[in-house]
Amino acid sequence: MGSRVSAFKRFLHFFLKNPLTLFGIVLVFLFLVIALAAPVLAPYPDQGRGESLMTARLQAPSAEHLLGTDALGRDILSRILFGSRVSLKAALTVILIVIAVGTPLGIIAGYVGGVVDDVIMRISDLFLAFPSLLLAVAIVAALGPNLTNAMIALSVPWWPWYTRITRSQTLSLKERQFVDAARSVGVPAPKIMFRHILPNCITPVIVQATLDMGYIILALAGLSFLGLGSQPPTADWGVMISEGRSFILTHWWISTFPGVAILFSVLGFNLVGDGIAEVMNPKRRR
Amino acid sequence: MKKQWALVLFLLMTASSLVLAGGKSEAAEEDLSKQVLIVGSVDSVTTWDPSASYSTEIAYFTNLYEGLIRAAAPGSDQPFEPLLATAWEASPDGLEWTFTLRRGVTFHDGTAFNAQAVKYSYERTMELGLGAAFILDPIESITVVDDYTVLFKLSYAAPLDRIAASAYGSWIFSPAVKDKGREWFEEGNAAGTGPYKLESYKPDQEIVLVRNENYWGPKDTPAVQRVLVRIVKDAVTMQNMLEAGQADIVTLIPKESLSSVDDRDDCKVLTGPSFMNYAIHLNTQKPPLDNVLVRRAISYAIPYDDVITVSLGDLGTKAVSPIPFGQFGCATDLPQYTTDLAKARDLMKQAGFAGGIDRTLVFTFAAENAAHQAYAPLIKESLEKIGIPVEVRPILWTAQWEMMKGDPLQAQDLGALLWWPTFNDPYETLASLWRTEKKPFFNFAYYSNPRYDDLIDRAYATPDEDEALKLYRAAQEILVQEAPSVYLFDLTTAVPMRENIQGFVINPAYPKAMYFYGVKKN
Repeated sequence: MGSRVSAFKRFLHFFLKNPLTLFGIVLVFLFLVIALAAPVLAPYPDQGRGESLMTARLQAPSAEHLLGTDALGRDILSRILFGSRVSLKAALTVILIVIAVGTPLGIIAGYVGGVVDDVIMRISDLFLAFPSLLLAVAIVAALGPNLTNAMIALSVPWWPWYTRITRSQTLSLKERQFVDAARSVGVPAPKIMFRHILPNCITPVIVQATLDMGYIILALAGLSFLGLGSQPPTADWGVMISEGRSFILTHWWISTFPGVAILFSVLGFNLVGDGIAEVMNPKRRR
Repeated sequence: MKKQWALVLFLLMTASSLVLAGGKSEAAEEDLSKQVLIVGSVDSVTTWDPSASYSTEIAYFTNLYEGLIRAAAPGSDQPFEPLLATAWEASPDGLEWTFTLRRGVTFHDGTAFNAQAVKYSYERTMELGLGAAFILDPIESITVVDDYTVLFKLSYAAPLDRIAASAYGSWIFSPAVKDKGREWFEEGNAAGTGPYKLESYKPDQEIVLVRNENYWGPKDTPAVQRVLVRIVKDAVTMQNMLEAGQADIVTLIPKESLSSVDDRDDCKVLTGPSFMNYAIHLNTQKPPLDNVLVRRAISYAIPYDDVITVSLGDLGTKAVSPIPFGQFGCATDLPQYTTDLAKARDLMKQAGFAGGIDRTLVFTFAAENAAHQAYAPLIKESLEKIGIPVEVRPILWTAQWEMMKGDPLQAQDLGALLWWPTFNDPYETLASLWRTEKKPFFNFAYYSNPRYDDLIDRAYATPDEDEALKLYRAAQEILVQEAPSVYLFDLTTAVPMRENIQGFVINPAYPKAMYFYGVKKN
């Protein structure tokens, strides 16, 4: 009990000392609220979903349209709100896929060792050897451009990071007494791996996942911008920036605001990720 | 930055070579910028072979090659003007055409131009059978009467003057290419008689043209020594290049910027008619679009005015016919589809799709075309309103064309296409886009109607112009009734350029073609 209280105090103390992390948490919280409540919050829900409103095209930011409208008369604010759902859903899916694939492989590699370890780690090295975004572009090109394929394409080069993290964690956990104890009373290996080792690996995985959320949102927006992710008229931040590209010199708000949305969501997840990493890993504290 | 350095280097090299060659002084260097025309163009070169050319390389070809005659620019009292032929006449039955050739013309490679070269060029194009070679189908034989007279015999009456003035398939080139093969062209070589020679070519980056000193035209033309074409695929980049003075002429800027560019003191926008139109071709081989009622419903569902507003603004006008407006044979009194959702829903009901269609239809278009990009969401939206789910799939043009040429049952359901005619004759448009094809090439509605085929074939073969127009009109009416395609809009050409550029001509008979011949920099 005592250690929990001190952990809580540590958190509180930490946030007071680290306003940036607090800011990050606020951003992420806002992002989640926006994504969940987009249909309620959006001033023009129909336009947010992609329907055109030709009487209101290319309007500059005003009281009526806080962030202006695009070439099809769609309210940019509403589109950004709806876009947060696409980003959140897609990024979460990618994270879950890479954790689901990467973590067990890492634990198996670390616990079993030997040839199994070599095979798994060499395969993961193979994927890490390519620049991840480039590999993703190639994969989407082969599968055909849509959001599902973009998510698959980002998962493929991303899982090895989680394999590496859990493997190194497993290697050190393997030598710990509680694992030895379990082994000596005859607990089968799979049970040791997923009952005893997995829960102790989860912290670094969560830290990495929080940091990666930002990168994945950015990468997905990048793919959508290139026309390889979500397809118009989906409200996707990358698609919105791309749609505003030819208007950038005359109607700046079409691309700018979705860009700002990407900036803050990525920033939020990164700050939170950094904060968690510092709390969890005292060595990283300055 | 790298590109800019390359440009500076290029200018320096040109400067030094000029100074060295002529031993000229500072005045020459000041004139230098007037000697180099820099063009930003979106158009790739799909082939340099004049027999095979049938695509965007037309932008440059008119500077390198010439045909026997050329369709005159608007305002001329003659339909054609002489180029390599100085006179031509047809026999009364339209089966024999005699062309008198220009004397004293040489090809870029030094070979003399004569009747043999004309015969060789046409025969090579017909033999290869690539690109637009089909327009030469009526030609039965070509006879060299003497060095400067050629006789064409046709197997059926056809407007050979229109064919000879075509922007594709009718170029005259040096017979010396016989020994060089097709690869020689693709390496970036040309062997025409045009006012410019092809100096160098880096695929999808840069084309350098240099003045043909032996050009047969007046001695002071062409005025500009070199033309540097930079191939740029982005409209905003091109606008920046133009405004910064890094390009003298650009082929594409965002249409929203046209008026602001025109308002600048150092830039202007030249507009002119074009024989270009946009249509969406419906896959008539594949359910549910094999049903004419569904196709008509789609034609009624499209919000034509909005589509034009978002994609072209003032540069577009609603299509009145499958043939681009203003072209010979374009019927202006056809029944029209208007935007009428109630009627569209009613037609869907009649077709047995009251509850909508249970498959998502694929709609493709050339991803690099900003106009398609702009209106695509409106198409999706309007079709979903009448119960047709649509997936929008932009693909780069070359890939799109490959997909469209495949098995119709595997191909897209709706395919948008920017079309321009090969030559100023309705047959080519009507035949390329809707005549029965064994293997799809441009008929992306995969449309097949023997009665229609017969009508246009008869129209093409008749020497009587009134009769031809009547038949063409009947064929166009079928295309409206059967709705194998949605006829969206016709396009006005707009060419943004620096204020000091003079003499640029837009000739609607050669859409996309840029004539550097008459261009001067002041």
